[in-house]
Amino acid sequence: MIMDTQVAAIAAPGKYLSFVLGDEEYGVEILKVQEINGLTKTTRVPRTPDYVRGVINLRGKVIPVIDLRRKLGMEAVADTEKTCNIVVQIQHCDETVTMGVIVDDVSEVLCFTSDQIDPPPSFGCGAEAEFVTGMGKLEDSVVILLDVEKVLSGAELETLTTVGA
Amino acid sequence: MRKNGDKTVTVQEPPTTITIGGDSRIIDDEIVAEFVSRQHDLLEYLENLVLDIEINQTEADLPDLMRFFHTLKGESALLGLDEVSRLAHATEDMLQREPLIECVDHILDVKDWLALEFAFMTDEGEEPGPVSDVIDLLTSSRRTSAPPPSDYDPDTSYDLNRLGLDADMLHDFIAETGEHLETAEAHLLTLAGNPEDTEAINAVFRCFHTIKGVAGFVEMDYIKELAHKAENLLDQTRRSELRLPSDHLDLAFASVDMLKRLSEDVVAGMDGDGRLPHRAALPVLIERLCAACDEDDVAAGAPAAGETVVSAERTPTAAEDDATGAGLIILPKARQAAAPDGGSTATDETAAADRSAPAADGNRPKEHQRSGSVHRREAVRVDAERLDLLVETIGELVIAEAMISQNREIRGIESVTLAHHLDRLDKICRELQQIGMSLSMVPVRPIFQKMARLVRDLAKKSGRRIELTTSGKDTELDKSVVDKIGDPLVHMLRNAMDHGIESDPDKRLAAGKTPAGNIELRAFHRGGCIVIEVEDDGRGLDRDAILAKAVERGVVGEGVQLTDQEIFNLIFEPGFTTASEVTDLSGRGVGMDVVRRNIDKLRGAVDITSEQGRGSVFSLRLPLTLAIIEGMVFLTGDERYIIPTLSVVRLIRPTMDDYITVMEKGELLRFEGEVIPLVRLCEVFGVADAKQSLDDAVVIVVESEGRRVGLLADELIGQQQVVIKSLGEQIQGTEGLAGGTIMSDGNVALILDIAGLVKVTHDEKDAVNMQTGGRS
Repeated sequence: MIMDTQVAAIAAPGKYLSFVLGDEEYGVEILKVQEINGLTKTTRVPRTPDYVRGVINLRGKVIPVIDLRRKLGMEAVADTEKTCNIVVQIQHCDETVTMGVIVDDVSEVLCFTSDQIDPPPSFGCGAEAEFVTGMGKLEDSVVILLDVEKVLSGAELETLTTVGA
Repeated sequence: MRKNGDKTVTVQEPPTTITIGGDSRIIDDEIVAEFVSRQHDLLEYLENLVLDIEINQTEADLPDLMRFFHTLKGESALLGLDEVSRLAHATEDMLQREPLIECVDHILDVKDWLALEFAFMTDEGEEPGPVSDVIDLLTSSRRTSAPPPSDYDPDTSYDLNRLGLDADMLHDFIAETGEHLETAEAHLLTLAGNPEDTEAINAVFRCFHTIKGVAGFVEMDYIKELAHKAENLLDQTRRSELRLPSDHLDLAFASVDMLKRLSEDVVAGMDGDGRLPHRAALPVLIERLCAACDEDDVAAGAPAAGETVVSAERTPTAAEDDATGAGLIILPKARQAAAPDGGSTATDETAAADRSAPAADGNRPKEHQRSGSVHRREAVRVDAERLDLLVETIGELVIAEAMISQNREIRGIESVTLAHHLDRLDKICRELQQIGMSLSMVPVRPIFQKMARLVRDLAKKSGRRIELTTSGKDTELDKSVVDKIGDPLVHMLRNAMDHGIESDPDKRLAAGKTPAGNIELRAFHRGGCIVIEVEDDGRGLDRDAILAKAVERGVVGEGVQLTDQEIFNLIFEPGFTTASEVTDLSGRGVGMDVVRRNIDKLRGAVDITSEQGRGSVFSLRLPLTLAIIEGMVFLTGDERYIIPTLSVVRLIRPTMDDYITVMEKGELLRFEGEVIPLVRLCEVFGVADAKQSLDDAVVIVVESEGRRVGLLADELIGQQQVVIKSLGEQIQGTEGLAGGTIMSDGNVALILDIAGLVKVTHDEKDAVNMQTGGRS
């Protein structure tokens, strides 16, 4: 079980959806993922931070979409055919919030046992580092496990709502 | 179930175990909650009735009032709500004792206390003051009422051990009772639909009869007693071949419920120490059953046969009421003891039967049709969440339908049948949307009623004569809107009473008006909005005084020419008042500010028209619903935005002559003799490729809280109804945006929050003006 500690908890073993940002492979807990969609027309929302792509119509519901590259401080690239929108459900202020996360490509569902997960390395590179909850080891590669809740909620969301002011 | 079969039963246990007190009244929370939720409507009904009585100065409604309090007394006692029951009882006493007209104030006090109490019970308010205060008011001049005597000794509690019963026997008893109760309930439900089903009456009768038998066998005297009384009740109906009156049906249901609870107690007792809890409600129920039976005897013996006939034909006079009043107490003993003169028995008894028949709650309004003002349609309580889901889904359907019918490929198909089908689909979707919207619509009646009460109270307090006429009570508004117009209306009415209506009747007479002030409160539809107006025939707004005050306060510069409307709007400024002294009613200048704030929140508008010496009209324009707004769609760059039509003052194509700059940065526009800030939406929203020149673009003049702003946009696309959707928790707070909506092409368009936008731009313009520094 994920412990509710202030220090970044180590990722729990289980199934992860892996996706690609540039040359790096990332993973999010599969239980947080609602669906994966192709890109649909996004309506830009003015006066929001640059990593907010805007809002989309998800079957009658208006949900915000976050550009994960920008959110993680990576260089923005043009959308390709492979660019996807992972719709995740996260807990924010006791409410379930549905959001879209734009990634370069979605790869596969991976299963990690606890001995396949290493704690995140300490590479002092700013706030973004705390989103990493572990490194999932595969035979020939390493998957960076992200705490998507932390990426999209908490202090980040607070600033998101006040940026317009 | 027989796990207790080997339980030893001791006979030696002292037979004096008595359990009284709070713990003994184990009332099902749900039943109480249901009771309380019903009371809300009933209290409103009561208030309406009382106000009618006062206006018409009639005693014709006395039986209705008596029935109301009587039912309340019975029901609350049944539920163990002691205070309510006592209060209802005291009110009944008062109604018997005093002339009705003199009771009006007290009844309203009682109503207020009850409203507070019920609100408190549902955690919606503060605890009301002690009930004894109110009761003291009612009984101020006389003795307190004697506690209701009872045949059944309620203080005795049963002890299974004392009964010395075989556990097997008890189990059989419980099982059998349970079965019969289920059967009885099923048949009662049939009866609820068809009260003349004699077969069902017989079946229920048999059930109670059997229960009586088995209860007697296991020496459960109290169960036997209850079953016996219930049996009697049905027997009467059975023999008289009358339909089962709805109040009797309720009693039968109550008996079934009580029997269920009693047998549950027995089960619990068997598992526990053998003691059975004391049910305070049991004796009350038994008394009610007795009383109901007695009435029926009388009713059956009455020449006209049937109590409803009696009640309809009877016109009670005060004298008769005094004579028969004592008969209102449902307990037979009390009735006889308290009837001093004996009177003509037949009249007394029929009157009692008429008035004490506890009205079935669901059917109550039907019985009160005589008063003419209340009718209720059949309603189903639905979980609000499900309702929202339904409305939301309908919204999606409408969008999906639009996507299909506007799809280019589909439109390319040349087929008459397809066109027909699409038309039909479109029609159904529209209808469905209408129905969906109407689901959450409620009439303004309760609010209006509250206002009638308020006016009455205030008039009384300030010693003025004011006549309030209301119209359009059945006009429907979204429930969320209705809930929020209460405060503004209170302030508008207070304002009309304090500032509008002349305090001196002679002045009114001198001006050719009636001595009593007239206030009219009305609701009606106009142009897709609901309008609620408060009109008074008082002295009207003093244009000059307002202007002078505004100049004095520095709100308006000296020598500025303002239209009447603009001057009247000044009274909405926070803290603005022309009153030289603060009175009980108003004068602090807060009220109208509250009005405008609340109405703004509802995306509505307030207009004032006034003629000095003749009176004023305050009208609120409100959207039908908060979920759907009428919006203007326009383009800036290649982005679509929607402005709520209610905020739009005018669309203009200004010329360069109207265009003014301040220090080459702040842009202003001359509009109707006023200078308003010009806001380039493309700048505020960071849109690229938008038209910059005034000559190509349109300016939408919007207004919020009296401040006007011109919004520069590229092009107006059209006007349409849009369903407001939240942008999601994360970006909902973005200033200047109220939400989003899904357009017919399936994409999202953003809805502007004009109030927020105006505020932002005003603040930013101010900042620019102050610092003379550029804004990015």
